Amino acid sequence: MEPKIYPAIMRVFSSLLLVLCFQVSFACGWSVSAETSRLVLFKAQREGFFKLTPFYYSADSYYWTNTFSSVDRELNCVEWKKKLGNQIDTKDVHTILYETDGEQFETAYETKTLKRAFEKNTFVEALLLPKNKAFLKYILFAKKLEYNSNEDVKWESWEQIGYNSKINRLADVYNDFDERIKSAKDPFLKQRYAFLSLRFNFYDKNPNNVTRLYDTYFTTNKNTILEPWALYYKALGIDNLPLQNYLLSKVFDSCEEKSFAVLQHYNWKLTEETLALAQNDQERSVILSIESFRNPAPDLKTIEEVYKLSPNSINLSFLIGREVNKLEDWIFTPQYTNYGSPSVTFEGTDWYGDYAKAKDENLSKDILYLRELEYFLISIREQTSGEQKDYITAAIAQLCFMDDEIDLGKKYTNMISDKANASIQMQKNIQLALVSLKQDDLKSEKVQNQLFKYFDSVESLVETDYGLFKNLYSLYRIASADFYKQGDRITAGLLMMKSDHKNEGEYSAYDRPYFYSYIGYFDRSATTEDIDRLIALQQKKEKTPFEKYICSGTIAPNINYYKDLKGTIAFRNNNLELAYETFSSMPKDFWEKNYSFKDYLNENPFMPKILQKEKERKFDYRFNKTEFIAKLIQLKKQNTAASNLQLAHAYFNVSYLGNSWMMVAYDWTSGESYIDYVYGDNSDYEKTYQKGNYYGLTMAKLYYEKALKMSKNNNEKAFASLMIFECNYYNHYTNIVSAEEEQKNPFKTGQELNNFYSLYKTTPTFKKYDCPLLRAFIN
Amino acid sequence: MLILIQICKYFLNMKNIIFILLFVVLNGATCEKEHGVVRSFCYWKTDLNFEKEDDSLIRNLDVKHMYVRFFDVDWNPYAKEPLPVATIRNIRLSESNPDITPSIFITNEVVLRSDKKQLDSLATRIAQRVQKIGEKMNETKADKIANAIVYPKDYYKKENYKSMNYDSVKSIELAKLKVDFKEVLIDCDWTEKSKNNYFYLLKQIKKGFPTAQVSATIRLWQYKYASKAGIPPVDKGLLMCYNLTKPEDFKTKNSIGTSQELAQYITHDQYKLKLDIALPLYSWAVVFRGNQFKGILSDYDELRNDTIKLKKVSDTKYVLQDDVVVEQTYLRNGDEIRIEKISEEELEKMISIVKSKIKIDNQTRITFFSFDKKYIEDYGTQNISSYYARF
Repeated sequence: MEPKIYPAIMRVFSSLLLVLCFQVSFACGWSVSAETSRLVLFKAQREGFFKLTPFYYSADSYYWTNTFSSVDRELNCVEWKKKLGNQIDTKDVHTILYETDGEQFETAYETKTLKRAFEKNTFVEALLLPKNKAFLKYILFAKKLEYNSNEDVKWESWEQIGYNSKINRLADVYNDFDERIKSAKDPFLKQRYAFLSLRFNFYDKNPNNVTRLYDTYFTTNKNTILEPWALYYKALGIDNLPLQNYLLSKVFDSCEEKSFAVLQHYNWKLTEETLALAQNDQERSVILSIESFRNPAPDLKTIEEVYKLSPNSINLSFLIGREVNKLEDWIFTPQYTNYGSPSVTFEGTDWYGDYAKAKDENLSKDILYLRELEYFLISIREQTSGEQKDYITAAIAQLCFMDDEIDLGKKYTNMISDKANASIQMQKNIQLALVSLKQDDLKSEKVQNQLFKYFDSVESLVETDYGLFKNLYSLYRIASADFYKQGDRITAGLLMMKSDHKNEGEYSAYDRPYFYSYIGYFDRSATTEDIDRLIALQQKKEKTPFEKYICSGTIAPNINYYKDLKGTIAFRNNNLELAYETFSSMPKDFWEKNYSFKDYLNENPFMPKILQKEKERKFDYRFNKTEFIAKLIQLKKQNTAASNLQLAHAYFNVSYLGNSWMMVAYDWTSGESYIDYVYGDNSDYEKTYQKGNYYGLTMAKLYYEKALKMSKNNNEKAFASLMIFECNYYNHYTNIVSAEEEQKNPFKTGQELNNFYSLYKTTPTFKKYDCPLLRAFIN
Repeated sequence: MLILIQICKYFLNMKNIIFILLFVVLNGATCEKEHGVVRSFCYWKTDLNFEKEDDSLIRNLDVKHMYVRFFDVDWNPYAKEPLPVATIRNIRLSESNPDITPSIFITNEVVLRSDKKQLDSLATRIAQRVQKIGEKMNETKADKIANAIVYPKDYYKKENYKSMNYDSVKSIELAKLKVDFKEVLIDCDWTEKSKNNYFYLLKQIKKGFPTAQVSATIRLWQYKYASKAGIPPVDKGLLMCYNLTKPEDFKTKNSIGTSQELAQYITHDQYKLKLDIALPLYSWAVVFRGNQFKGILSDYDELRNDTIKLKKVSDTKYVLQDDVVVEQTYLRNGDEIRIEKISEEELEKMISIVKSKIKIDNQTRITFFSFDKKYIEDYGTQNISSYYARF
């Protein structure tokens, strides 16, 4: 995507339009979702976290995931294997139960091609044995019900075409569930038929039958995954909401598949009533955990309670992780994103009020809360063991880093056992990377290559958990800031690009590389010496592993992108010789073939744009940066009235009011454009270009004044006087944006305009540019 | 001369080539071409919405005919009847006007499971559904014509632009359009077991299209073992010269097909039905990590054009220079991507094999599977034109 540049707005300045103030607003420009910009570094997991994935802290209602636990299904497959014999592979059971359409299975059965259609499927082979006929009959029946409940069918009606043509001709199930349950001799099948009937009755809105079936077939034999599934349907049919909550909490605790559904049906604000039904501490801890899983606010109180009830539980670890993630969002997101505020803001947050003040207050409050959590975790750490202990240790270390207690964080990181699971080890590597970023000499090749190893350890786990893209996005942002602090703006820039690439883990609009995306970060921060280092890095043949990594996908394929930036920075710094040397080493047609140069560098730079009427403007000037700089050098050497006048025109035109502003900047003015969104606001830096010439016309005025002083020609003097007035005028309004400010500090015309209307009133320049609007300034 | 050079090259490269191939290639080379063929494409997606670019491809390739998949028919075991599935949603041809042959894919289960009565009914329903889709297609066409009449070119740019109801103009235009397909194609991978039912169904279908020809697809095994598979009772056949092995079998050299395999099927010239020819024109990318298969990418164009992230190492192989997510797959720096497609050289050989055994005249349709801008641009319009010309 190309940067947004607004030609229509630029043309506002095409004639002598004297307006009091400029306020260009690009409100509601670019944004990504709060969840996308949120920073997160803590993603250690314990075995059993998977079912809790949707409840990770998130700016959205639920944490987005495209993978769901299949543990329950695997258990069901194991139950079938136990029933039909060890020769069965559970993968084959899975294929038939969960990956095969009812229609496909039924057709194969009817055409007696089951064996061929499911070649080498050990489950089908077992079902086809005469002794297992009743089991095959059950599967056929279950598949038929599955087909009937499927709303997304492929079948269409012969009578219709178009969007309404989808139909589902329901299979006849004869509603003979009771008969099937009764006639099933095997208790395994009896319970399964009962489950099918129970679910059918649930959707048929017969809660009493659901309860009856559950109580008859599942209260005595709970040793099956069908039991919590059945209990889920029973719970949903119960009117007593605390009881419903209680049963749902039992479902939550005893199976994985229904965890998300449980949280969707759970009735909030009945905590005490629900807790009153719990039989033991374990049940109470599950209820409290469920209540806390969607709490976006500080919730240490619940964590303390859950710890007392069930100190080694998975839910406790998960809640601790959520709490760390909350703090990361509140502390890191504002710190490391361009327009950052925490992703989750609470009701009543006045975002357009005095946010700077609120931000400071919130940070102090969050740091206090962070310490409270940290001290609590330190106090319980010794009482925990195994995976729980490693997890809590990693959480403490993370909190230390957020509080800038690097040594303490390092101490806890080193306490994480070498036997900790892969996810906690990955967290350890992130933390070791943080230690290194904060404490080591980042210029050292050894340190850099060690950092690469830490980065790569996270990268290699991304494949199994796309959620880790977010960690990489966050880690590289923080790493970028640390390299910047140590003066390495090149690595900082490349890491920032890496961070953007990892955001959302996929190609996004601002991930498609184009000219500016390679130089954007450096345009706003680099010196010409930095660019020399960047060029050297691009051309380095034997890159270190770290260099190779930070350059992949981020380094510009064309060295001239960097040269153009270097020349531009040199020009901004008024180093014409370096600008010339740099531009002259580039291909002559570079500016015709790249970026938007030919659209914005196509007018005569030696005729001030502001004095041209729209119809006088020609856009056919063949602009070459090298030749332009060479001309400026030549004019400076000449140092005559005429050469200074031409220099002044050129400096006027390379300001934001001129026709060649792209000599100095890559986007016209910083505000709320797309690239501001990506790289941050650049207004303050733009104000420094060419000693303030870009907005304040300082250089242009200097040369107009020189021309005026040196000239013996009245027409030249008239021209210079008129333009000194213009420079003063625009300089005055550079920082005035309101009528109140104008009232306090009104613009006053200088002697130049008076001279223009007296000493030079017979010159051709006066005759051409005299106008009522201008005249009004001398009255 | 060119062909001889190709043969020599072929021999040098593939010493295990069977002799029959040499024979057919030489045989093909000696035939003097005295006729053109009907240039055709297959369109097998569920939506046909042509834009200017598609029109221009049709024009540049001089395509006169298209097989358009109208719908499939599958057996619903619970309803115990054949039902339509995946019916095409729109047929909007823009400026192109190729002759269209409605094509219907019928699963072998439908033929196996249906009784005579159901086959009779199926034949009638197919005719009715083709008619309905044809009417809908004409409606789209009439709408376009009426729109052009009511709103002259660039009318919407005018200041006094008004939106108008043109229903009456549309109905006049619609009345001028008739559903009169000249041919209907039935596609079914029938077996020896389903042969009788299928041939009966084809006869019934023929009754439903009294003014049109009925054609049937012929797979390569049905061609080779014609006595077993039988010859369908239709006016014409469309010989499908592709899909020779299963795509999931990665030991195969090219699952889309090779000339060598084709030569093993087209072994005689005795097929008792006038044949049109369908050739493959598609490709995909296979991803490997350290020689281990990772998956198939069907939409790899964007990635392939990314010269920063992807380094070309040979004609068909690329190596990733950065980590990327493509089609929900996370690919890593160093992964190897192999593009599988039938090479131009292979296609030319396939054409020679076909020509050596099957009579081609100026009425013969040569169709490519399938019409997709991506594939067409990949092969290049000039190359495709030359394939047509090779017949």
